[in-house]
Amino acid sequence: MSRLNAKPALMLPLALVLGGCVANYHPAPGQATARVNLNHVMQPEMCLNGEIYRLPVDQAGYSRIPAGQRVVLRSRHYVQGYPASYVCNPSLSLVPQAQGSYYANLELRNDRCRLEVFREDPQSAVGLAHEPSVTPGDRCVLKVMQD
Amino acid sequence: MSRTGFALAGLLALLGTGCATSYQDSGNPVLAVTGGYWNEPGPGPLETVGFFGNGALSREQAGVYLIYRCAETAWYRKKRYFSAYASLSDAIDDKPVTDPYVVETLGGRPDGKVYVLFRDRPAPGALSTVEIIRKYQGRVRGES
Repeated sequence: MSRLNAKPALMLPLALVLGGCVANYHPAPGQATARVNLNHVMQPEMCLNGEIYRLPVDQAGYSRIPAGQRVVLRSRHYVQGYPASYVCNPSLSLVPQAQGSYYANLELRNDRCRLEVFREDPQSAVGLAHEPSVTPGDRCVLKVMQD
Repeated sequence: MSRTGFALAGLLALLGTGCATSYQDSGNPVLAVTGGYWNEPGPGPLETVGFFGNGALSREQAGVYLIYRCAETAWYRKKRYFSAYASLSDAIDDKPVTDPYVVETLGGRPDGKVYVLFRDRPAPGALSTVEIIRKYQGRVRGES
């Protein structure tokens, strides 16, 4: 769980600068994928094999992510206004199943934020189920570029 | 500071600390400057219901407003019972909140939300729509 940072004036320009360098993720032809609903996740990104990608969503709010391997999802959450302005960057990792359908959610409670992902399950009374592969707070190990 | 700046600062101070947020729709641009309730459909069959207030509102009273709003929404949906969950994990595990409910804080102000499953029949931990409305109607209207 990430602590909300109350210095948005510094973080926003940084987020904008960094966000401008990130490419959208597009699955390779024939690659197994899952879909994840990102309607409630601000500026969703994915870290895959040391590379960071922005996750574009369709009209229903879903984005495609690779299946069968561990991927890190994260959010650059920023809100300015009443009752508070805050910024946080929560993350987690999971191993999506091919053709699986997931729901990502950002929880803000007691000045802390947490990213969570559930499996969409039409058989469940609430439409969701726990995803056992989720590990909270995973770090993205970036690939080091050589000159 | 200009005269307009002083007036604006005074208004914000009054709104922020003078009177506690009352039971109102947070989407109302005039009345709800200090907060109020909000509803959002989803995820899935759930409905997300929230309430946030200013620093003069207690977490307990915000909890009353939040649970009352859940019951009011259930009433509009013609549902006799509802289960309110503090998180999606609790919803999956069917661990509803109990009444009375105390909301948490965000930025030092009461701010809470629950995920609500509306029901036609009673279920373990589910709250009665009519009982909650009867119990809190007076407090929500400011009568007690």
